Amino acid sequence: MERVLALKGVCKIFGTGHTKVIALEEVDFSIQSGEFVAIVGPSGSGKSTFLSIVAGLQNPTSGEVIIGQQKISAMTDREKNKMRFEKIGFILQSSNLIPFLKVKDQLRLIEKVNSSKKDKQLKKTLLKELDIEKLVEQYPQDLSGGEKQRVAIACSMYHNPQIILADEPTASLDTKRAFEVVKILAREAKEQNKAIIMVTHDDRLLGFCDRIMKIEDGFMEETTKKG
Amino acid sequence: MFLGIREMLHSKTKYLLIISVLMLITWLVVILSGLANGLAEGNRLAVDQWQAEGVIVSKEANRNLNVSTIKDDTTYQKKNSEPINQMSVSIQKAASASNKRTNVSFFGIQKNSSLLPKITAGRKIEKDNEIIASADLKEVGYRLGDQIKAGTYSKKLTIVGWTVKSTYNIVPVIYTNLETVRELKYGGDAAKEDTINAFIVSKKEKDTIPQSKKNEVEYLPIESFIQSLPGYSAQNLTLDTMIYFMLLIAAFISAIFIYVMTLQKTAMFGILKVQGVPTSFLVKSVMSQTLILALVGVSLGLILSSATIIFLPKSLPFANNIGEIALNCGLLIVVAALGGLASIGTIRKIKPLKAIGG
Repeated sequence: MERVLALKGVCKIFGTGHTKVIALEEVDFSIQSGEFVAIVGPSGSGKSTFLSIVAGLQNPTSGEVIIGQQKISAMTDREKNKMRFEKIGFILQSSNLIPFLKVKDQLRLIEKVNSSKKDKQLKKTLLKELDIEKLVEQYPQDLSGGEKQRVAIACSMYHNPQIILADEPTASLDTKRAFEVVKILAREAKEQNKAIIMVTHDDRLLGFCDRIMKIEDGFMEETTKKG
Repeated sequence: MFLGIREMLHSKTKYLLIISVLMLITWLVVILSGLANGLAEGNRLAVDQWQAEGVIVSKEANRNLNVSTIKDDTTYQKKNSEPINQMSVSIQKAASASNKRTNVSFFGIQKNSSLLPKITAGRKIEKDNEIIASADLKEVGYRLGDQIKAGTYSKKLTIVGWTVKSTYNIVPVIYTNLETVRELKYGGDAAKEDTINAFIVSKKEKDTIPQSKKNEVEYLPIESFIQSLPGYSAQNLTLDTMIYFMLLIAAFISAIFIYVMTLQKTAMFGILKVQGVPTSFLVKSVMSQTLILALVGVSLGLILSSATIIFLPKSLPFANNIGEIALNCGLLIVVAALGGLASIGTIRKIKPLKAIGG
């Protein structure tokens, strides 16, 4: 187990004066590989801001984000891009699949961006573990919501990132599918030794997570695990 | 390439539409340039056949062969130049009952002149009132040995030979000797003895224009002479302008199309950027798409043009110039690709942040 991500005293403030909004206040957070952490909180509480700062899409107003050994604040935009591609996998709310690519091409796209990511064995394993082998010739439009998210998970893991950021990955799914997807995420965290951060507002899913962080009005604190 | 090609295969209709627009533009450009060439050739074919370096015309003629008059005296060296007489007139068959007339241009030249194009049938001119006509006249019913009447000229002219197709000012050229054209022009006026229209210079030398004539005549390099043919530059400019506008339109169409497609894909590009896909990858994908669209559109346009050319009526002055077609098609591809460049800024500006609702 190694620490893959740490936030130290991260603040994010939007606007000034009367329009000043504190999205994150003195957030300290860290996650190790193999950990599955849920971030919960009402809408507008700063969850998305948290994710985007972790991903280097926004700079914190103060504080430090460290991925592996590197401080994000010291990186140029190009380096941040590279860091995201190398170290972070994304699973987004409405699945981040490209509408005109067959499932097999969604994975191939990653090879096309960087040919060193080509890994036949990993691809095979992912297709099998996520039970999407039969879907490789299909377009996203022909997949069910659960299938889409499973493909999205495969894509997020194919470039072998250390961290996976999942932004409401179950938002468009019914309970059964939602459980299925979260179970897979929990399993992958352990089996592939990934650090997974999942933002959600669905309390039913929290049982599968190792830790639960709650954000409210920009403050983050660890809550006791339910059931 | 990967993204671009797969997207085009997936939304075929959209891309086929833009391909067909580019195809039609190519078609129009090829046909227009063929017509421009045909018209230009119709104007200058006979001049090209002279294979001359330049022309000497009288100064007051304002570069116009038809109105130039030069007194052909011994001061002209005529080493590398020879005299020519020209007159535009309409002809008809002497024996025919119908009054069908054909406009032609008469060129009076010396015996054994190098200005005469290749003779394809018949013989050379041996005496006055014998003519050798451009092959075009065969198509309007003239035959070897036919007697013709020209304008108000009282004597009959006899066709004794054919040259390859030769045109001047878009009418067929009839070659005869200097004297016949002179008589056609001035009747038997003795004062016009030795008057010619111009000298055609095959190689310019220092004394091509004698010192004593410097105030009367001027030397025109052949290209400026061609540019001064009546209507020639105006006509070329018109058609060329149309072609250039088509190129401009092609650039705009491709720019607008690619821009709209890029806007449609903003969300997708955002998601890809979030995942760390570099902007350069997205730009390459869009640019390769534009290039493929342009290549396919222009190729189809060329095929369509070739098919059309087969069915063009013969009376249409149409001449292909492979070099020019290649140049225009190359330009079309370049401007269409440049149109795609207009969207690079948009792709660069897409914020990945939007994709995760931050």
